[in-house]
Amino acid sequence: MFSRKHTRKIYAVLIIAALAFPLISNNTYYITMLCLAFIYMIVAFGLNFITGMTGQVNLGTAGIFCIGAYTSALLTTKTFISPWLALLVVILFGFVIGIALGYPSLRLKGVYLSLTTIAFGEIVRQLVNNMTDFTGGAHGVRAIPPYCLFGFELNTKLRLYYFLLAVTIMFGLIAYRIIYSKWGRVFTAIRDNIDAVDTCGISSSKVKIIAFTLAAVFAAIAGGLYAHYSGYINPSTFTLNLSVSFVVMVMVGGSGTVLGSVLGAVLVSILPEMLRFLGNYYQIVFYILVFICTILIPNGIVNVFLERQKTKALPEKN
Amino acid sequence: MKRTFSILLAMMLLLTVLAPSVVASEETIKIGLLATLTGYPLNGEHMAKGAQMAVDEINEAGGILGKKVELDIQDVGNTTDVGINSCNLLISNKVVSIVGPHYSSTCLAIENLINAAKIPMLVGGTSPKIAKIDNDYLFRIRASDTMQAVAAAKYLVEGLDAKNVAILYGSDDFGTGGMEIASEHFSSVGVDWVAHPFNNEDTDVTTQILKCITSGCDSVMIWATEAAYPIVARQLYELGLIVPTITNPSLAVDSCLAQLEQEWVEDWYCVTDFLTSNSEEKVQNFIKAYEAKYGTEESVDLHCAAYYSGVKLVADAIERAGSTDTDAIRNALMETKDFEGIIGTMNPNENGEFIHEIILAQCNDLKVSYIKTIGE
Amino acid sequence: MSIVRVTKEVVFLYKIILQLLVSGIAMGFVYGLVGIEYTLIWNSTGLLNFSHERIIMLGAYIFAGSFVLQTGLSVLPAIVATIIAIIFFAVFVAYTIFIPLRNMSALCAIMSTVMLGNIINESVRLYYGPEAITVKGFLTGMIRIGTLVVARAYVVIIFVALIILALLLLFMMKTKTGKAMRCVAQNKNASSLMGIDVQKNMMITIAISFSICSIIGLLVIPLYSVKQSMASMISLKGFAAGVIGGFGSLPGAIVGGLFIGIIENIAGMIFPSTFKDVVAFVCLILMLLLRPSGILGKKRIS
Repeated sequence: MFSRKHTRKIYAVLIIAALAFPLISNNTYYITMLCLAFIYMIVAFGLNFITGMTGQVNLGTAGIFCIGAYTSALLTTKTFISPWLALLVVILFGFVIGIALGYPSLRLKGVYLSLTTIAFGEIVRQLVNNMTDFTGGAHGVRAIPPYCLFGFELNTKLRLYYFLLAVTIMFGLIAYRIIYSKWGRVFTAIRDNIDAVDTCGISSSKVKIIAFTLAAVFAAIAGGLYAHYSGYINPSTFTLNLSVSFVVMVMVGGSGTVLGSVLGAVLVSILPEMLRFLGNYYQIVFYILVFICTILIPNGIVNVFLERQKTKALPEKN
Repeated sequence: MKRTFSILLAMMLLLTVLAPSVVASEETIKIGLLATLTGYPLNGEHMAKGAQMAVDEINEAGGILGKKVELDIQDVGNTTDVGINSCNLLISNKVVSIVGPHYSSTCLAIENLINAAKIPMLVGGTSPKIAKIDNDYLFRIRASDTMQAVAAAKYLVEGLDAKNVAILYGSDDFGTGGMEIASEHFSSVGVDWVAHPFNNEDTDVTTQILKCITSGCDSVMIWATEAAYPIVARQLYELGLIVPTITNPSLAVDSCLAQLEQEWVEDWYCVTDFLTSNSEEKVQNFIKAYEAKYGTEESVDLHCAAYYSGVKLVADAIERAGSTDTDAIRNALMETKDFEGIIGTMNPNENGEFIHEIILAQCNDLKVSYIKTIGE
Repeated sequence: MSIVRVTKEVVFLYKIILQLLVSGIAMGFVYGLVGIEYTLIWNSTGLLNFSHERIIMLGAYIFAGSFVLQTGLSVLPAIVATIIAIIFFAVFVAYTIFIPLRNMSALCAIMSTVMLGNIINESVRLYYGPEAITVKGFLTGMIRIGTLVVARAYVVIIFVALIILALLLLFMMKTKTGKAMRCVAQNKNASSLMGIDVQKNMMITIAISFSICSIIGLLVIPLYSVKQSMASMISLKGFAAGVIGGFGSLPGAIVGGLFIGIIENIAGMIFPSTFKDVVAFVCLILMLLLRPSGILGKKRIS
C-alpha cells in the first residue's frame, strides 16, 4: 500500500504533528505521556535490531534500561557531575553490557537466549533492590537533577518535551540509517538464513554482537534520559513486565521498521491510558487487544500497510 | 480476507489512541483518589469503597458549599510511570485535592507534580522520607513509620523486656524504612539487634529465621507487607522461634489474619492505626455503616477507614475555606484542629502529618484486641 | 577453646545445615515439578509456556476459591474437580492457541503465551477479587524427627513430586500414547508420517502439563496461601531448574530443581539473605555458558 517514499512523508507528518502538539494542547497529562513514549521509542529502536531484525528474543531490556537509569541518577546525585558527563558513562556501560550479552547469544539460540536475558534482568533488579547502601534500595533515588542545555535547565515539561523529541528524532534517524545500511541487511539475513550469511564470508557472530551492542547502548541511553525525565526512580519499575512491554512495542508496532517502533511505543504507553474509561476492565482489554494483535498480525501494524516486498513474513520454524 | 481483517484491526487500534477522553461536568466538586486497583500488592478496592462511602455521605447531607462532590478514582498500578500518568490525569481533570496513594514509592514519584500544580494531596504512604520532603501541598493521613516503628520498638524493650531483638523485614521501601528506625532506637537504648531482610516474592525464609535463631534473640520484630505473613509466621512457628513478637499494622488487617493459623500468631503484638475491635463509638458506627452499605462479607480494614477519613477531612477543609481554590483548601487543611477521623484525632504538624497516635494490640485466637493507645 | 564447646558448635552447625537441606529439597521438588511441566509442552510443541505462572495460580484459585470456599466441597473431591476443570481449560487453550501457534516464530509464540498469562491474571483478579485467600488446615502442621522440623506440606510435596515423576516415566515408556509423545518430541514430521496424530498428541501433553501446574498450585497453598503473585518466583526458578538439569529431560528437571533449591539455601546462609533469589539466575547463566546441555543432558544445543 505504501512504498518507502510514502513512509518518508509519514515521518514528516508525524514530526510536524509532534512539534505542533504542545501548541494545541498544553495539558501536562498528554505531554508527560508523550515524553515517556519518546523514551520508550529509543529503546524500541534499539531492540528492533535484535528482536525485530535478527530475530532473537531479548527479555532483559529492562535490566539494561535500569542500569542506564541508575548509573546516570547515582552519578549526578552522589558525585554532582553534569548529566551530560553521566550520559557518556551510560553509553560506555551500554557498550560493555551489549558485548557481554552478545557473546552468550553466539552460543545460545531461541528460548535459551530468552531465558538468559530474563535471568540477566532479574539479577539486575534484585541487586539494585538489595544493594541498599549503594543504590538506595527500594527507597529509590530522589531529586535527580534535570539536563541543562545552553544554560537552560530542562525543568518544565514543555522544555523536556522538545528536548526528548529532538533526541528521539536523532536516534530515529540513526536507526533508520542502520536499517537500510549493509548492517541492517545482514541483520535480517541472519534471521532468515544464518548459514547463507556465513557462506557469503560475513562473520555472523560479529554482526550479532554489533546488533546486541547497538540495542544495549540505545536502551542504556534511554534509561539515562528516563532518570532525568522522572526525577525519581525505584527498582519496582524495572521488572520483567517492562521488558515484555518493550518487546510488545517492537512486535505490535511492526518489526524491522523505525515507524513500527514509533507506533509500538505510542500504543503501549498511551493505549492503556486511553482505555481508562473502562474502569476496572481497562488492563484486561489492553492485554486482549495485544494478544489478538500478536496472533493475527505477528509482523506488526505497520507491515500490514507497507508493501509486501520490503518485509516478508517472519520465517516459519523448522 | 485475513489481510482485510488485519487492516481493520490495525485501524481500530490507531483510532482508540486518538479517541478523546471523557469530559466531566463543571457542576461538581471533584476529589481525586489514587488507588492500587491493578498490579501488586492490591488494596485499592478497599480504599475506593471507603472513599466512596464518605462521598456518598457528604452528598446525602447536601454536598459541600451547595455543590455535589464527585470522586475521581484512578488506578496507580503501583508503578512509578502509571502513578505519574494518573496523577497528571487527575490534575488535568481539575480535582481540588487528591487522596492517596497508599504506597510511599508512588508518593515520592508524584509529589513534585502536585507541588507544581498546587493541589493538596493526602497520602497514606508511611515512609519517614515523606515527612522530610519540603512540599507545602503534601499531607499524610496515617501514622508515620517513624512513630509506628518507634512505638513497636519501645514496647519490645520496655513492655516485653527484650535484650536481643531479631528484626525480620521485607526488602521493599516499607520494610527497610521500618527496620532503619527501629534499629536506631534499639542502638540508642543499648539493646542488641540483628536484622534480616527477605524479598516479597521469597518462597522460603528458613535461612533468615535460622540466622535469627543462631543470633540467640529473645524477641522478634516483623516489618513487612501483608503478603509475607503466611510464610514468615508459619516458618517462625515451625522452626520453633516462639518468643515475644511485635509486628507492623498488617497483622491487624482481617484479610491477612484470615490466611494465618491460630497457633502461628498466638500472643503476637502489633501496632496499628485501625482496629475493628476498638470499642470507641466512632469506630463501631463506621463499621456498622460500612457493613450496611457493602454487606457484612466485606472485611473492614484500615484502608477503608483511612481514606474515608481522608475524604471527610478534605470536605471539612473545603467547607471551612469557603471556596474550592486549592491554596485556600491547603491553608484550611493546615488550620485543622481536632478533626475526629476514624483512625485517630487529626491535627497537622508543620510537616503536614495528621495522625499522632497509634494503637497497641494483641492477637489471641486470631482476634486482635485493643491494649492501649500510644501518643507521640 | 575447649573441645566440648567446639563439638557443641559443630553439632549446632550440623543441625542448621540439615534444616536448610530439608527446606531446600522440598523447594527443589517444587522447582523441579515446574521444570517438568514446561518441558512436556516444549518437547511436544516446541513452545515455551510463559503463562505457566498464571496456570499454577489459576489452579490454586479454582481449588480454593471455587470448589472449597464457594461450593464447600471437601478437599479430595475438590482436588479431582480442580484437575478436571483445568483439563477442560487445557483442551480449550490447546486448540485455540498452542496448536495454531506451533508454526509461528519464537517471538510470536513467546509473546502470545505471555499475554495469555496476563489475561488469565486479570480475569482471576476480576472474578475472585484482589484479596488473598487460603484453605484453613489444608496440609498444615509439622513432623518432628529428633531436632529436625519438617512441615507436613514439604513431605507431601516430595511424595507427590516423586509419584508424578514415576507415573510420567511409566506412561512415557509403557503406554502407546506415551511412546507417541516421545516420538513427537524427537521428530514431528516423521511421527506424523508414521501415523501419529500430532495434534491430538499435543492436546494430551498440554492437558497433562496443565494438570501438573494445578497440582503445583495446590501443593504450595499451605506455603504461600492463594494470591496472584504466588507463583511468580517459582515459575522463573522452574525455568532455571529445567535448563540446569538438562533441557528437555524430565528427570533432569528434578535434578536441576534440587540443585537450585539446595544451593540457594546454603548461599542464603553465607551471603546476605536477600541475595538468595539471585543465586538461581546466576547458576542459570553460568550453566548456559559453561555446559549448555545441563547436568543430565547429553547432546549439545545446535
